[in-house]
Amino acid sequence: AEVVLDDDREDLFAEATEEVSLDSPEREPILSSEPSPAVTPVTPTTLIAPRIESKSLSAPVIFDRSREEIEEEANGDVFDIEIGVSDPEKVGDGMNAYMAYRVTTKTSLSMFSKSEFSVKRRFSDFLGLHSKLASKYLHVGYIVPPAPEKSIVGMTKVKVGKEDSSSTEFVEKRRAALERYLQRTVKHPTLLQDPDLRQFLESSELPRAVNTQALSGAGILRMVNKAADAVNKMTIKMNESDAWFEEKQQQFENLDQQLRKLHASVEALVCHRKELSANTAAFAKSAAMLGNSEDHTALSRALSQLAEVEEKIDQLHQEQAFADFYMFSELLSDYIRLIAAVKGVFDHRMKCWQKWEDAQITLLKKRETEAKMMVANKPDKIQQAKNEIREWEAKVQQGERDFEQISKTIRKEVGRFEKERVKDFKTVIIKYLESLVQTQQQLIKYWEAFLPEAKAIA
Amino acid sequence: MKTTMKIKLKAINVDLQSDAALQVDISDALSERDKVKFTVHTKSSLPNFKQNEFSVVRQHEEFIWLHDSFIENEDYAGYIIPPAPPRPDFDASREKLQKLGEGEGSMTKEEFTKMKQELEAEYLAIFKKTVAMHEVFLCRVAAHPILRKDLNFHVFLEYNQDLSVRGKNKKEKLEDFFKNMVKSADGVIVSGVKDVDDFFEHERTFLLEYHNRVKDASAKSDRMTRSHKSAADDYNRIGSSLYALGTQDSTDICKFFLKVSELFDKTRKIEARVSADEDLKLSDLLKYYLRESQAAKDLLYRRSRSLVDYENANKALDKARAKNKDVLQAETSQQLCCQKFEKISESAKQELIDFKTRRVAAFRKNLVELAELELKHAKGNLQLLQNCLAVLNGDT
Repeated sequence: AEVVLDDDREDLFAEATEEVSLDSPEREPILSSEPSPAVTPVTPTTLIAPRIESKSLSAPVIFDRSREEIEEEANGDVFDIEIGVSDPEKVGDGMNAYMAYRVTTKTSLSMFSKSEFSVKRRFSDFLGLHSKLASKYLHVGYIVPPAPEKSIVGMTKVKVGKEDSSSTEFVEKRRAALERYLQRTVKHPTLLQDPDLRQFLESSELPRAVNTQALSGAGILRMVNKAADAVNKMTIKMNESDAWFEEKQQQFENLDQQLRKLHASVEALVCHRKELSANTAAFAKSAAMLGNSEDHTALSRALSQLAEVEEKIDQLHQEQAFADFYMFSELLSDYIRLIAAVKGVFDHRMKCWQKWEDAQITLLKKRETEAKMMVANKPDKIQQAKNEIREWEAKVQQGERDFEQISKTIRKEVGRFEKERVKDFKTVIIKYLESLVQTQQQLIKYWEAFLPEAKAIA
Repeated sequence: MKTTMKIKLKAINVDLQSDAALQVDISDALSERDKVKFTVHTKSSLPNFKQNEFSVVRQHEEFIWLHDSFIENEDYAGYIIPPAPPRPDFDASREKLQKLGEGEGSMTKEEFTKMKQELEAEYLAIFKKTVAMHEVFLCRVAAHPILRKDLNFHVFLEYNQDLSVRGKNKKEKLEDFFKNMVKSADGVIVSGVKDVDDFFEHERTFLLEYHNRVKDASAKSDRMTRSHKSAADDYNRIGSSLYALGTQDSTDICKFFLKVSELFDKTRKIEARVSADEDLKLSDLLKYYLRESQAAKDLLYRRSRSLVDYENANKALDKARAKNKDVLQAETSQQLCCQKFEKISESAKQELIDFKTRRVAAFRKNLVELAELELKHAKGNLQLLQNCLAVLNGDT
């Protein structure tokens, strides 16, 4: 795996990361909290590279058109790619069993070799994909959609083979979450260009992502790094020269709080709706029994009819609870996690600034050293100092460029994110309201059918 | 919390022959900290009363006193005694209001006002219910051809001083408890006797099963109604959160959120009404017939008891005749038992037929009203949703 690192960023090409063992030196950039210099994402400029077999693991890939063209197309309505995640299938037995999901892509984009294709993927594959994308793009300011969360309890039930409704629900919840995750990821014009993503969608065989195992060494390492991150953040005091960033951070903070509150209320609604469904079913049975023991014929019949109506209404409540959850509640929980990713990106910018700042401080120290050496008249040390000064001057320049780049990227990303967010919320909430409409229409039908029965009691 | 209101309530029971001879209603009610004062208003052309129209103030204990006096009156053994109204219970509601007051600091002013209004509405609903139940009791008595002539009833209606009926003290409550225990043990023994009369045999089987099933249905209906209310409360919170989102968002989704927030606020009111109406028309109906079917069961028990007494008196008479000792005494005793049994049987038959008629009419009325209200609310909800969607789709 060859990487060319150049000051001129326009000649860089992205690299498909490959399967790496636990103690190989290449893992460093994936795991470290520093912005990784060795693996750089594709920058929004023209790329030139020879076309190679798209199926090979470590080949850079070409694009027929310039990135900007593709991105423009992506921003317009011609953005044509549809992802579906379906057909969960249990593979294997016992604790080694797993769910395989079918990932189907339908697209007219020319970067793909076919217009419709599907592959089988398991949950850890998705996590692996996210991990790769995050390691490449997060630290330079791209908002990478977070993957669905792991659930040891949920998965264990499935592995153990419990065929009950709670494990079916769990699988469906996960399937839907994986679908939304992929749909969000391909909507991102930069991520869509990423070869890892394409490999994920297209390759029939995918190397198993090792470092996502629930309690693996890498997992623990990641947790430790996250903690270190948190500590670092607390000690960075950045001189914010750009009010836009401060404003935006505050806005996202507020949004986060509000969404959490709303999410809690919607979760309560789901819970109560399910309760209502169960209680309605119980009442229906009880009303049927009452109807049976009622000795006035017409009233007895009416009570049985009432029981039937309530049974149908119970079904309705159940369906509505699904809509409450899958449309409303999951939308909110997705966005709570997305905003965490956004906050992460702002944090990376701070770290980037810190690095630049540190370089400036170091440069100052080197200059002082040079001055000292000059006074002490040590010619060999002077030369060394001068070398170091040049080195750190370059680093300061790089630091400033990095910082400007990440700031620029974040501004664009936030703009895109906000547009997406508005669209997402509007679409989903309207769909949700339509589900409420349907429920009311059904209720009207049921009660209209019952009314004459009640009036017929004589 | 003091609440006064002029109540014009329609009784749960329908077809109560309220004629010009005697009309009773609760025209006013006042809720004080630990008691409710009902203003019982009577209109009557009967000569028994000093005036044609008058009002007195009564509390719950006095209703119970009246009910108990009916139960204890041997002459009324052959009637279904209208069930006593349940004690007014504002404890839960009061507790909630108190908790709200304590938590005032932790929520926005707008949220607090919303919740306060909600809880006050709840309190008011409970209040209205308890008034209705006390009124139904009085109307049932007033409509009953025999009970309406009861002297205690007239005193209850007319005597404008406190009846000084203190609630039962501990000893009396314990006595009651044992009386009930004996009665139910008795009830088991007595009901083992198969009845000669087909009508009563059928009624007994029917009532036993019906009572149990109505009890179950009443409990399940209660739970269903409460879940409905919980969901409506959630809508309230969702509306508030959406409002906060709408006022704070920096993008053009503000208007969207505000409109949806408004929708949730309005739809919540409808959902709360659905829950309240289900409570009134279904849960309360079932609860009432739970109590009435118990009263009917009690009637059957009294009849069976008197049948057993009659049969025992017969046996005693035979023995007396065999021994030729105290025959006259035994004869008189047997005669009395026979008369009592026949009197009870006759009136019981009519009472049970009336009970069925009332029950069918009440269920019909309430089920029809339930369906009509459900339809009204669903249509209202639908209208709200469709209007909102039209606006939202027009904007996007």
